[in-house]
Amino acid sequence: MKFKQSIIRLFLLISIILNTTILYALTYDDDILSIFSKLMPRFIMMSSQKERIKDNIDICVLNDDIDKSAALSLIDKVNNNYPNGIKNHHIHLVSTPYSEITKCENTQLLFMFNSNEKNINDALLFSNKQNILTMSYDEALLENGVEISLFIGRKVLPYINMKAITKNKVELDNILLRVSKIYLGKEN
Amino acid sequence: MKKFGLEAKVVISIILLALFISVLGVYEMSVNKNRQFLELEKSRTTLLINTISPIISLNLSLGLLDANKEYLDEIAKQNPDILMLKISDKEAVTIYGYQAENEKNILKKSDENYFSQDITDSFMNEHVAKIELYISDERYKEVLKNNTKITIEIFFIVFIVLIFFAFFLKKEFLSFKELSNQNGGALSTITLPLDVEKDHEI
Repeated sequence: MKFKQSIIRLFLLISIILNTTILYALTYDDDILSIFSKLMPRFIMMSSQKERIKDNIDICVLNDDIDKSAALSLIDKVNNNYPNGIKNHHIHLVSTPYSEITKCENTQLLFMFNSNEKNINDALLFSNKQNILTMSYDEALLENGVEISLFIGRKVLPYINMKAITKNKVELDNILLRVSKIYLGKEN
Repeated sequence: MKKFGLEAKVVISIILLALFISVLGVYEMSVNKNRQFLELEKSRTTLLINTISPIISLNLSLGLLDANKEYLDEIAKQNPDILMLKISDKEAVTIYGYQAENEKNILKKSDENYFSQDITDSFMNEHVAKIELYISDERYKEVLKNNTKITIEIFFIVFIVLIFFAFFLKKEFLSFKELSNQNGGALSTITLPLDVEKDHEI
């Protein structure tokens, strides 16, 4: 009986792990990652974050271990899209686990892959403290206070959480606002 | 051949001169108006291109092709005088095309209503696309038609006024003629009375 229960528990555990892996693996669409890779440096250059640039444009990609390959894929895409950087600034990206967020201190943008609620909220607290622009793969994180994501509907558009942007005292270029959709909250 | 009398010569000269001056004035005004309208249309189209170019550039740079299509569809819808709108990428491949439904004529690039501009990505400093625009000349034709109508109306009014003026002159000439007849038809023999009293002899 005990053996049977152990087998069932083991089976459940394996299926949870597999499900999570499959879920994450399927969630990160390659085309969407490509759009994010083009979007990230431009959001820095077209916002008040550009004033924080010293030499390089620094972007921190926050991810759980399970999303490491997606994070590296995103970094590759950015490097492929901007091989010579942008406006004489090289783009420096690092993939960092949520647990080591302090490594992102001098960056201009935090890109957040999915994680648990605590990690997301800690990252947002950190970004607000350091005045770092936040962008997430999942638009649902806008509700938590992430500033930018992608709206994926009939067309794909940058999705801007104006409330969070204002709170973080970041200013965006007007053209950027014109091509984007404004996030008005979960109810809207 | 019958020679024109002095009266006819004066009247015809005045009428022709007045007609010439008024028609020339109206024509000049009309030409200026047309030129200004063309300039205005050109500025308007250039402003439109300059307004939409940064958005097209950003959308293309971000790979947001659907958003670009929707934006350009909206622009074409809001500007019914756009007959053709085409965006081609740096390899000259058409990535967006719009042509007004009722416009089946072949549009000539040499035409005054054809506009084109390269779209550049200001961050990467590279050419990303080319925008081509063909604007309807219906409004210009309308202005030309109105100007021609006004010119004809003014010409007609001036002509009528001059006819009245000719009658008025003819009436004035009658008294002049009578005076001439009293002196045997020789105006040069008229002796005008002098009011000056002279008490000396030459």
